[in-house]
Parts: sequence; C-alpha cells; structure tokens
Amino acid sequence: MDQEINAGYVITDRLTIGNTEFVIGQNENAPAKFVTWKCKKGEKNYYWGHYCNDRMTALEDLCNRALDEIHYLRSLRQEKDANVKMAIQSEKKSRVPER
Amino acid sequence: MKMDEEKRMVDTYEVKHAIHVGDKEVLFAVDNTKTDYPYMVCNCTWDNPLGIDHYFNAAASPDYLEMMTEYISRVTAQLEAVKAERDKITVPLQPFTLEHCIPNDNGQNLENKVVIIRPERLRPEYRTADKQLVLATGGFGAHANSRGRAVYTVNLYSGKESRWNHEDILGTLKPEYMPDWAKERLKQIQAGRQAKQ
Repeated sequence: MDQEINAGYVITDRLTIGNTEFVIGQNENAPAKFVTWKCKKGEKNYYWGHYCNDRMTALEDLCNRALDEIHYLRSLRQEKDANVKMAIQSEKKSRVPER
Repeated sequence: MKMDEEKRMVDTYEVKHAIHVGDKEVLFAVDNTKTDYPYMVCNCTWDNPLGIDHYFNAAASPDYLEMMTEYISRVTAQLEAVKAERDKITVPLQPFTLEHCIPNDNGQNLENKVVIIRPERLRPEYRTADKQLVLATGGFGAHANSRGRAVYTVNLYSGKESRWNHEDILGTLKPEYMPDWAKERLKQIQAGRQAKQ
C-alpha cells in the first residue's frame, strides 16, 4: 500500500473507534516531528492536530484521544440503554389494567 | 498500524491495528466469523534466535469497546515500561552521529571495534547512546571487503548480544568520543570474552 501523506506528514499509525479515526503523522523535517489528528472514518480530512517532538508523546496522546472517544461512546450506549429501559417501563405502566 | 503491509493474520484473526512500543508489539485483530469472540488483543515479540513472530497473552471478547480499551491500556503500559527503562539509564542519552565516527565503508574491518548503530535503524524510543554503542564481535559483514552482511555485536551498556546487518552500522567510534562508562564496560566485556576462550 502507498504511504499516506497529509500536510507533509507520513501517516504511520491509525486507531479506529466507532466512526472516528485517530492517526499519528511523522515528518522528520518539520519543526514538530509528530502530530496526532482526528478524522471521520474512511475520510481524509484530518483536523485538531496535536503537535509534539517525539513518538512516545504522540503515542500517549493518540491513546488518550482514543480513550476519550471510547468513554464518549460508552456514555452514549448507557444513555441509549437507559432510554430503552424507561420506554419499556412506561409501556408496561400504560398496560396496567384500571381497577 | 503499519500502512505498507498486506493483510496480516494471527490464526484466523485479521490484524486491524498494531502498535510497536519498546520490546513488544500490541495487536488488535478481528474475525467476524467467530460470533462469540470476534475481537482479539494480543502481544507479539521477535526476541528469539530466528526472529520469528511470537504471539502471546491473547484476550478476546464480543465487545469492541472493551477490547479497544484493553488494547489501549496495553499500549499505555508499554509506554510506561519504556519510560521506566529510560529513567533507570544512568549515562548520557544524547545520540551519536556521523561526526563521532569514522564512517562505515566496506574497506574497514569492524571486528573487535566499538561501532555506532545508525539511529534510524533503531526504534524511535531507542535512539539513544546506550542503544547505539556496540562492540562488533564477528560475522561475515564485520570483515573488510566482504560480501557478507551479518555483524554480531555486544551492547556496551546492557551486554546484550545481537545481530545487525553491515549497513546498519554508522561507523567506528572515534576514540576521543568514547565515554568513560563505555571504556569501563568495554574492558569488562573484553575480559569476559577472553575468559570464555
């Protein structure tokens, strides 16, 4: 596969969480040699760059961003589960026969 | 994930993400035919005489987010391990460059000389002096004008034995740049090798 390059940075690592991707870009000639970006899965419009000078920091940032996304998706899932529960309960209540 | 690789498989699982940190690679793989455990996380090392993939410590689950959390926590743990390892190193980490060495051409014999590993041949987190300085102990690539590639080495800091290719060697360390810790370690390693012979 050809190397993917964005803004002069070679994309070296990629993590997909749901519909979001986080990548690390590397450019040995740039003032900041590493960057992490966010983008929508399958698209190439990278945004919200976090720039740094070593790969360890970039990897750490990539992990933190991915974890934030996981927490966000978990909270969405919990919210959805709670809504479904409430809907079932209210449906049950509406079926209770009048005495 | 390594972008230039074809489909990489671990058993029936296709590797979707792989991050190499320190001495391990952490993999996230998927097999959608396994409905009970489609998502799998495992580690991989090559630290064996043949340098072949050794997969271990696998965990699988039907929950994508659970396995992705496991994956990220393993990568984070590796980052912490590398940092801890680096903190333990007591010698200056400033990498050696071309100015510190007599450049490697095919004409010089490297055997029994302290040579510098090219920084770009080391993983980014290991591009430090302690990983670069090695004693060349043999191999066909260590001989002058040889067509062989293998250069066997002993790391001056850790004492670990490794095999490199001739082109991985930046050059022979100029004596005036030899740090005191390396002089001391070199004596110990040479004494140990002589005792073995």
